[in-house]
Amino acid sequence: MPVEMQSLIRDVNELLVLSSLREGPKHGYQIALDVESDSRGMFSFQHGTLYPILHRLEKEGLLSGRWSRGPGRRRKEYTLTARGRTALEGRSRTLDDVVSRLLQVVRGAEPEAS
Amino acid sequence: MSRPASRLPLAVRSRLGRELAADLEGAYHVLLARGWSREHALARARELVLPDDDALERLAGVHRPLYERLAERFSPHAVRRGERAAMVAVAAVTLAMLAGFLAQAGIFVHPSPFLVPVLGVGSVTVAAVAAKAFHLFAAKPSDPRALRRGLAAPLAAGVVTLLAGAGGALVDTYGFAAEVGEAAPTTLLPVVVFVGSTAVLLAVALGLALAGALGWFLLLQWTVGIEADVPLLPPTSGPILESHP
Repeated sequence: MPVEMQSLIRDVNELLVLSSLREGPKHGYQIALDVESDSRGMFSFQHGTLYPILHRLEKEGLLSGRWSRGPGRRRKEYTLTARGRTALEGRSRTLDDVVSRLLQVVRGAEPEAS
Repeated sequence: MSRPASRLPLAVRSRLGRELAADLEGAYHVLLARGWSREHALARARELVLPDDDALERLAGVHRPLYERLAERFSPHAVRRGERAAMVAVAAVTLAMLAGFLAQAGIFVHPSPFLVPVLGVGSVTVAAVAAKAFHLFAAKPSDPRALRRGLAAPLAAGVVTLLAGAGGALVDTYGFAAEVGEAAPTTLLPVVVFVGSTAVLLAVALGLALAGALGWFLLLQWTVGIEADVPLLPPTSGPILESHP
């Protein structure tokens, strides 16, 4: 299936968020900081670009948002849902395929017989 | 407030504001704990958390109100063929029910003097719908201007029908009030007849205007469907295009 660059970028961003939540519930800022540090600064959510992704994934039922009570302010915490976990696995496989084909094209290797 | 932010529904904006404020604070403290200076931690936290206009625009897109999503879903470009057919069926059933009701109501027993003009303009509305439908069905025009020609006529005729009905009811009311002022009726019968004839006049005008609006909507769906099938390239544009599969 052909891949559009714009949707690929969107998918990568969503995948970063989903995979960051694999370890457990997190607040939005923790996701942003963890993605940045885990990727050693290669991926970074600047200027609040994380929030449309979080809210969209929450609407799609891949994440669930919950307001946690703690000392001081109430904070919103996101958790990966069962659907989100399935989507994470499926999208990871798709990305694997896309990257391997991209590298195939870039390096000029012969396509594998399928 | 920025324009994209104002597009967010107030309840969403309020929750988002609380979420951002808490995250801004959280990010600031984490960065401080990592040894950043106060100034740099604050600047970095703001950069990470505070959405720019583009992010706010995307958030507004995620949280579009229900009516906007419905309007988009049922816009002429988004409606599927089966849904169009369902709309035509619903319109036909509605019109048939309306006609049945009017036939049973005995509208010509004590008609308003304006009923015939309203029916006249209303028949123009129905004729405009039928004429445009025949045009689209028989001619299958591919010229965009020809496709849209006469499309608004049912809507315009429907509005005129409604205005004629409302105007007629108003004149009837003034006339009846003058009659009552000169000689008060001894029985309730004239009042019942007046109320009945005015109600029928308004119902007929409204029904025909709705039929015109519905007809216009369905014709618009049909037109958009035909327009979508018009190819980008003209059918005969020289040997290069003709040889293209």
